[in-house]
Amino acid sequence: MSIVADTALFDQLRNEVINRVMPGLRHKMLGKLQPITLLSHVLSRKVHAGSADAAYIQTQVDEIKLNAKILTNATQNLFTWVAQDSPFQLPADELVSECVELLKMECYTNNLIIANHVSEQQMLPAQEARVLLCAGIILLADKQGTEKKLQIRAQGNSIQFTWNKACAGTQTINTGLLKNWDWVANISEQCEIVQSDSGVQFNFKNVAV
Amino acid sequence: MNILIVEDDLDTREILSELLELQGHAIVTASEAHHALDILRQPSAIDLLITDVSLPGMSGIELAKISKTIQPAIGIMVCSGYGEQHCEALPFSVEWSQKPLEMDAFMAAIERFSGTRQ
Repeated sequence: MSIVADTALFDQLRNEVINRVMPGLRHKMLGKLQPITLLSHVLSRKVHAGSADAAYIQTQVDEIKLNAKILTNATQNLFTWVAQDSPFQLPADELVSECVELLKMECYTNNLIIANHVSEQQMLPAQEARVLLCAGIILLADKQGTEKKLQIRAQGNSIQFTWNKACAGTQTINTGLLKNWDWVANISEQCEIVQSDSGVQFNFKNVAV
Repeated sequence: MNILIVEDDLDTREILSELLELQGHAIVTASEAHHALDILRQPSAIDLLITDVSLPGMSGIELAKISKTIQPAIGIMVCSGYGEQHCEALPFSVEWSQKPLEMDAFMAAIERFSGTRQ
């Protein structure tokens, strides 16, 4: 079920988020591809040198197959970012982890320290939740200032961002939707987003918990 | 050569290490830049730093800059899926390798470094 009320606004937000996470996605994809190249090269060298027995070759081939499977999954995940017709659902803990990992490479330069306390979750938010969560993290990362700290927790059907004062005040360096939280009121239908001075809570309605 | 590999992906780090050990090099590894700097501050000289650009905590480019101040004679190879333009701001020359690594070119670059150290 879509959680989006204003599709055009959400598409704009999604595009801005994709622009930011694309370096992270590329890094992840290459991380899955590179071991296959390296394993093949090591195997080839050992076979040519006559130092690879059948057991070793089988082990390396199994490793290559495993990495190929991981790469396939990563490729399919990439398509869920860029193609609207690729529905998926991830448990909240995997969703949050992916957002944090993707943005970590970008965020460290912006002095945002993220503590992800979301452990194994049964909650299955709609796929649009990934864009909303990433947008929130980017917005906080791009606030000017130092010692910005964000804590992420999940409970019931909610994901909560709690931040310190450094995240609350100053403007971000962004233009567009990622400049502030103005998009919140109009973008969500099945996700109630409650803001306060110390954080924001994403309450997902009609999700499996 | 003594080679320091800085790579956050465990599989890539381990296989690259195995590959270069097969070539007779001594390998130390780090998963992030701060650990790499700790290694570089130890007395033993590192001949070649091979680093990814995207690393948690500090980029490989920043690591390369600081590495030169700790061990000025160190050779540096930067590997990344990002464009080579990341290296253009560096005040010294580095070897650039596009990820995914083209293995023959990568190994040839390693051999070139090795040749200059002998």
